[in-house]
Amino acid sequence: MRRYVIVGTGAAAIAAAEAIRSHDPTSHIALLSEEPQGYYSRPGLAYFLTGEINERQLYPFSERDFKQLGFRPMVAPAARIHPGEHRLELCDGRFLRYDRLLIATGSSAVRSKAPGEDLKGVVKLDNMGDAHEILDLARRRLPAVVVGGGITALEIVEGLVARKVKTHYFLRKDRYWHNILDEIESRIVEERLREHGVSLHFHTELAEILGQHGRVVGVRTQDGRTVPCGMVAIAIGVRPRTELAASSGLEIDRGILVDEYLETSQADIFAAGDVAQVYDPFTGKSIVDTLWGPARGQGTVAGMNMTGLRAPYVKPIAFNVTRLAGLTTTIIGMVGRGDDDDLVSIARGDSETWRQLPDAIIAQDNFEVNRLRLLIGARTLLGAIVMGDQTLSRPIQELVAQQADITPIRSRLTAPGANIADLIVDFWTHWRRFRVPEHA
Amino acid sequence: MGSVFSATRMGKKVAVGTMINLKRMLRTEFTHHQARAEGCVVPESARCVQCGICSYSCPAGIDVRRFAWLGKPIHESYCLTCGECVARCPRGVLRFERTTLFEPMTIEGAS
Repeated sequence: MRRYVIVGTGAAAIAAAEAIRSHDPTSHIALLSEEPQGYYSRPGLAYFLTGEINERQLYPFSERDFKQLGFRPMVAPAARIHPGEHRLELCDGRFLRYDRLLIATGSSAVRSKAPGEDLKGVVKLDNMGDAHEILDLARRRLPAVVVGGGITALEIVEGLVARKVKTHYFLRKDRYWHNILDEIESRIVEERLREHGVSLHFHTELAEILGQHGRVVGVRTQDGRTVPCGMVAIAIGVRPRTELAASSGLEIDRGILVDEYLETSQADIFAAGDVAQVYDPFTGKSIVDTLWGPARGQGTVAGMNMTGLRAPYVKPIAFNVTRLAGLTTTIIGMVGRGDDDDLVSIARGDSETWRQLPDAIIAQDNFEVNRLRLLIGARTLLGAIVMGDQTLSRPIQELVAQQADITPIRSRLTAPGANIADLIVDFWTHWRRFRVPEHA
Repeated sequence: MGSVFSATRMGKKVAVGTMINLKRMLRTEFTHHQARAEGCVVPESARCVQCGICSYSCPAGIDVRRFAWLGKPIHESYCLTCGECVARCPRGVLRFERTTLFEPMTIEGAS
């Protein structure tokens, strides 16, 4: 009976366990977690913060599900892998033998370098414990300062607003998420935040977190202002948790380097999810993603390959759906430009693919608060942002992912005042029916 | 694909009162009722992060999230197609789709 050990209990880990079980029904599968909570929906923490959902609901699978599938969950942090002996050393000194091992340790928030970072009241949003800490502090109803960019910072802001906490949001530049969103989109998000009482501080950087008796009492900005607060939330990006791989001699760049079968530089050790650095055929580079969908996809492929199959991982088009200040927003393919100054590394819910600068024309359309922005390449759609109404996101997703030849509508799409929505829907309906880009 | 969201929004606009909006509302309401009667809820797994808001808000107690994980339409006899899960999903995972049980393959996109 083969023994599988999976280090981590996120989306990649569960998907791998599921794939292993479906291809190897009798094997032994151990799921190692650092947290006693085991597997829960980490993206769901945002909705736990806003109060839309209770904690119990964040667990998609019950103990019975795990039992039925023969998964053995263990709360045991891993210390080191001994690849030669096929043994995993745990922090408590025990050893686990494995035939195949998966590292799916995910990523963790980057800490601020500002003095006072270790004070009580300085928080991040990585896991359930962090969410509880934020909620406990929010109950004190003291103002809060949120520093950072991307999705996680906004999730914290939204959670605090929902908990009636006066929130100051610090941004380094002149607008929100400037490398992904265009100016209008940033302004839409900012306006909606302002409507909910959030104070936005542009061109503002944290110089020092001020404390008294070990607790946060305020912050000082680099331009010398002081903002009193009882909580400072830091969301300046995440880093793959590569410590286990590093201490075990695996090859690492930004994440753990894996081949197309998601196997690391050591035989029988695989990596998947946020921690893995995966070759992306779309850009020709090795990419780190912090997205739930790819993590699940990688977990499935890694699991299959761990059972002895040889399935290459084909990185899908970068795609993420999130909610920005209450607006459902889908980001498809390449839409960004350069790096975000509010993040020192990649943000959670982010993909490096979005940072590529596409040679594209931007066409846009507005529907009240809804917004669509397309990035149009020479013959194909390169990417899109769909804010608000999501009716169009599926057609666009398919057109981008399948590299559909949009030549028949390209000139009309880029014409001033074009009705982009209708053009896309008509074209997609036709394209889907025939799937022949013969008009080119 | 008229969702509960769009029906509500259109409804608000009608209070302002133009003929165009009235027509739009009637069309949306029609689509909405049509979807309820003839449709089923279909997930798009790639959007889902298993937060569970859908299951939490289902009045019939269906574990919609499990269907989303499996990528299967909510073919569950208790489903009322009330649209609570569709409306509340923060990531637009769920949508109504016409069941083709009685109308095989003739209509492409209900609205």
